[in-house]
Amino acid sequence: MAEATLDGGKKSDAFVLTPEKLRRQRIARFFGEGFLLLVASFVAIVVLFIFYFVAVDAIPFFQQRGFVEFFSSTNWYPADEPGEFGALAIIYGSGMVTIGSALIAVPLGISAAICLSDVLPFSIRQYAKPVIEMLAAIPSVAYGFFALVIFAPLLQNYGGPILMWAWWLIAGPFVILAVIVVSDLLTSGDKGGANRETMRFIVTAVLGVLAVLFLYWVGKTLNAIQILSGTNALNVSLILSFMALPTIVSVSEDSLQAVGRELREGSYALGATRAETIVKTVLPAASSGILAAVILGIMRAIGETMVVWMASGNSSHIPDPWYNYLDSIRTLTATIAGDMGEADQVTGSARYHVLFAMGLLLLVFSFISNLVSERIVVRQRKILAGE
Amino acid sequence: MSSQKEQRPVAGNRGYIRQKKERTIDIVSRRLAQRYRKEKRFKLYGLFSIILSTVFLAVLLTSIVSNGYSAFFQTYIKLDVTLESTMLDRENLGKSDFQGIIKQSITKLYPEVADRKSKRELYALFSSGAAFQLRETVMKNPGLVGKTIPYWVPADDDVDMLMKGHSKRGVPENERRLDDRQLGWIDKLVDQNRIEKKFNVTFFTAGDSREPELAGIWGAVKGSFFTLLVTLALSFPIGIAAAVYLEEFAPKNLATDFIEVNINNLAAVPSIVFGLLGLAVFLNFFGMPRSTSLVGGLVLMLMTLPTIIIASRAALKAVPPSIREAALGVGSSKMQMVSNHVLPLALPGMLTGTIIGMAQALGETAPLLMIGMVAFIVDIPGGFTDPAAVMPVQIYLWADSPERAFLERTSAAIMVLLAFLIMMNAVAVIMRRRFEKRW
Repeated sequence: MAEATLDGGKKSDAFVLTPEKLRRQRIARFFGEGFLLLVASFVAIVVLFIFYFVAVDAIPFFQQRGFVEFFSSTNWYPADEPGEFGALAIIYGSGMVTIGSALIAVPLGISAAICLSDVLPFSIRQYAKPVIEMLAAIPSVAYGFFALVIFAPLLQNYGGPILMWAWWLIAGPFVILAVIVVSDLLTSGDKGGANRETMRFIVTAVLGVLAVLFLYWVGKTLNAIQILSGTNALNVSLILSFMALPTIVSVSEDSLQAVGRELREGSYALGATRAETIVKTVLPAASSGILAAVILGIMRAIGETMVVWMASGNSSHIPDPWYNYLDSIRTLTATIAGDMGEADQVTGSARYHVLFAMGLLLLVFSFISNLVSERIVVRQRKILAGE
Repeated sequence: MSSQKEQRPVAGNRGYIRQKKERTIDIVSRRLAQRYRKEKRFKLYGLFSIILSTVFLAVLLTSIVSNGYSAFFQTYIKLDVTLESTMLDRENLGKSDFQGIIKQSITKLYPEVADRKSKRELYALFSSGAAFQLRETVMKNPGLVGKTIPYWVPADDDVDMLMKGHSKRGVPENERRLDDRQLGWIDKLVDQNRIEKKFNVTFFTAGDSREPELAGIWGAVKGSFFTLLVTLALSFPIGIAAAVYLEEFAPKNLATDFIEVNINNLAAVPSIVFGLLGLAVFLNFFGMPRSTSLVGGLVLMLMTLPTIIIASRAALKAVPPSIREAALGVGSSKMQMVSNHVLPLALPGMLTGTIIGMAQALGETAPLLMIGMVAFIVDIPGGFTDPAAVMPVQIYLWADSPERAFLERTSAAIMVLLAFLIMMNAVAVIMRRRFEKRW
C-alpha cells in the first residue's frame, strides 16, 4: 500500500475518498453489520428457542398430571396404563451422584489448580497440565464403557477390598498429615521450652498410633462390605468426578492466575512463606472464581448422560438408607435417554411429555447455576480491578 | 531454636549480652521451622491430586488398550474351496449357492462328521459371513470357477476368543461356548496349520453387524464424517460472524449483554437437552428424516457454537489495537479493517477453537441417541440423508452387547475414536504454537 503512493502518484485516486465511495462504504457497513448482528442474535435466539420448545412439550404433562405427583411420588411406572410419573427418586438420584462426584472432584480439583498455578515448577507443570486436559478430551461414552465393563465387575467382585485400599490410599496420607498438623498445633504454644521437641515427638507418636488404629478399623469395616451390584451410585460418582475435574481445575486455575502478582509479592515481602501466601492471600482473593469453577463442574456432572445411563443401574428408588452409595439409582438425564426410544412412539402422551418436563427441570437448573457462576466471576473481576 | 536461655553473640553489640525479654525475631525464627514444614506438606496436597488424576488416566487408557488391541487381529481358517463349475452358474454368479460350496469344503476337511447335529456344530466354527466373502471374491475374479483355491475364511467369534485366550479351555463343558468335540476339531485345524491370526481388515472396512467377526467401524466413521461436515459447515461461519460482531461492532448496550449471557447459557445447557430439541423441532416439527447425519449435524452445531464463539473472541481480543488503529489511520473503513487486517491475524486462533469444538462434537453421544441414531444400521451411509451411526453411538451399542468378542471391539473402537480426538487436539495445539504471535 505504502509503495503505491511513492510510485509517482499515478494511482493517487485510489486513496481519495469520493462521496460515492463513502456512500458505498456506508452501505457495505450497514449491511455487513446488520448481517453480523443477525447471526449473533441467532445464537441468543437459539437459547430462547430451546427453552420454548422444551417448555411447550413439557407443559402438557403438568396440565394432565399436575405438579404434586411429579415432585413428591417415587412411583415411576411410565409404561403402565395409566402410568405413574413420580420423579422424586429420579431427582434424588441426580442429586446423589452430583453431590457424590462434587465431594471427590472439588477438593481434588482445587488442590490440583493451586498446585498447577502456584506450586509446581514449569518443568513439571507442562506435563501435568495436558494430563488434566486429556481427561476432558476423552468422550463420555469411553468413560461409560470403562465404568460399565471394567470398573463395575471389579467393584462387584472385589468391592470390599477395593474400598479398603481406596480408603487407605486416599485417607492415609491425609490422616498422617492431620496428625502432624494437630501435634504441631498442640505443642506450638510458648510453653514447653527445651523439651518441646520431645513433647512433640510423644504427642505425634500417640496420635499416630491412634490414627493408624482408626485407619485400620475403618478399612476393616469397609473390607467386610459386600457390594451386590457394581453399577451403583458410587461407581458413577467416581467416574463423574474425574469428568468434572478438568472443568474445575481449568476455571479455578484461571481465577488463581487472575490474582495479580502484586498481591503475591506483597505477601512475600511481609515474610509469608509460599503456603501462607496461597492460603491467606491468593485463595481468598480467588475464592469467588473458585466457587464459579465448582458450580460449573457440578453442572457438568448433572448434565452428563452416558456414564449414568450405562453404569448407574437405572433403578428408580431412593436408596435405603438414604446415604447408601452402593445402591443402584436412576438420574434425570438417564431417564430421558433411556425412555425416549419407547416414549417417542406415543408422541403426545404423558409418557412423552414427562421427559420434556425433566429436560425443562435440567434446563432451568443449568440456567440458574450458570447465571450465578457468571455473576460471581464478574464480581471477582471487579473487585480485583479495584472497582 | 529455643534461644532465650542461652547466651549468644548478637551483631552490633560488642561482647555478649544476656537477654531478659524475648524479642520478635526470636518468636519468628522459632516458628520458622514449623512454617517450613507446613510449606512442604502443602506441596504434597496438590501433588497428590495431580498424581491421582494421572493414575486414573493411566488406568483408564491401559484397561481400554489391553482389552482392545486384540481386536485388530482376527482368527482366519484356511479352507480348500473347490469352485466346481457344476455348482456355479457362470451367467448368474451372484445367485449361486456359495453357502453350499463353503459347507462342502468344510465337510471335506472332516469326513468323519456325518449326522446333522454334529454338522451344524461344525459349521458354527466358521463365520456365517464366509459365503458372502467368497461370493465377492469370485464375482471379482470369475476366472476362478472350476479351480480349487486355498481360501481364508474368518472364524466364528467363539473360536476367535478361544484362539486369543479370552475364553479358557479349563472351565467345565456346560459353561463353555464351545463343547469338547468342537475343541477337538479346532485342535485338528491347529495341527494342520490351517488356523492363523491375521490383521483384521474387516474391522476397518465393514459396517455394523450382529456377528462380531463381521462387524466394523467404517459405517460409523463415515457417519461421523458426514455429521461433522454438517456441523462444521454451519457452526464455523456462524460462530465466527457472531464473534466478530460481539468483539468489533457490538455497542455496549443491553441487547449485547443479552446475547453474551445467552452464549454462556448455551454452553451450559446439558447435552441431552439438545437431543430433546432435535427430537421436538427437527424430527417432529420439521419432519426431517430420522437418524441421519443431517439432523445429527444440526444438533451438534448448536452444541459447538459456544466453544467456537468463545475461542474466536479470545483470538480477536489478542489482536492488538494498534493494528486496528493503523488500518483506520490509512483510511480503511471499519469493514475493511476487520476483513483485511483483524480477521486474517485472528484466523489461526479461531481455527484452533473450531477444531476443539469439532473434537467435542465427535465425542458426543447423548443428543444423538435422542434423534434415533441408535438404530442398528448395517449399510454404510453414502450421504447426509442416509441413516447413519456415529462412532460414539456405535461404541455405546457394542458396549451393550453380551458377546465377549464385542467387548474387545468396543475397546478397539474407543481406541480409534481416541486416536482421532487426540490427533485433532494435537493439531489444535500445534497450530496455536505455530501461529501464535506475541505482540
